[in-house]
Amino acid sequence: MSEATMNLMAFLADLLVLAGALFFLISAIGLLRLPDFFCRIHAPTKAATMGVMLIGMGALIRSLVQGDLVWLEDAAILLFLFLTIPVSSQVLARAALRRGVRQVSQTRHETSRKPPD
Amino acid sequence: MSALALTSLLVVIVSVLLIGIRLIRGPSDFDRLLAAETLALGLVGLLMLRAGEADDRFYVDAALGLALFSFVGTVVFARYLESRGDDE
Repeated sequence: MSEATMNLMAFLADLLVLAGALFFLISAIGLLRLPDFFCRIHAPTKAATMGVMLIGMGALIRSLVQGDLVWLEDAAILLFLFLTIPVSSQVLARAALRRGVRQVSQTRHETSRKPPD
Repeated sequence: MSALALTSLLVVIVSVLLIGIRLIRGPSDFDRLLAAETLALGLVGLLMLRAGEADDRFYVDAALGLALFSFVGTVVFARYLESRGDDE
């Protein structure tokens, strides 16, 4: 790879990391400001996943440019987070629903108040 | 360390502090568990950032371990909170 390409790739990695950090900040603000638990769980499951994935992609590109085999481990982290964050959030939301955590009064249920077992 | 990378690092640190406020305030145990999981995500991000800057592969190993254990811990703790008695 030529010098210019390497600089371009490093700049691209920095941009990806910055975008990921901003997404993560948005998710933290959402976690802090949304009114109840079922609203708050949206912020980490979507925005924080996106943020960490972008940060990881930046790190992956950087180690690829440096010709380092660590990119395999970065890819493993990304794949693992991509598979597990939705699962853990779903388990958490289902547990909260079954335990009857307080909901905002505007919450509407399509069928019944009881979740299906 | 470039200005862009430094900015990203500061932004992630501020986010982690905001998540820490939610972790302390609660109000329910589920909120705290959610905040703890998100905190672990933020730490994974910080470790990956640090790995790129310090050129040290052990930071990436730590990030992988933290990602694995935060998933297992969240699932197990959510199951526990779900099956716990009615004493809140």
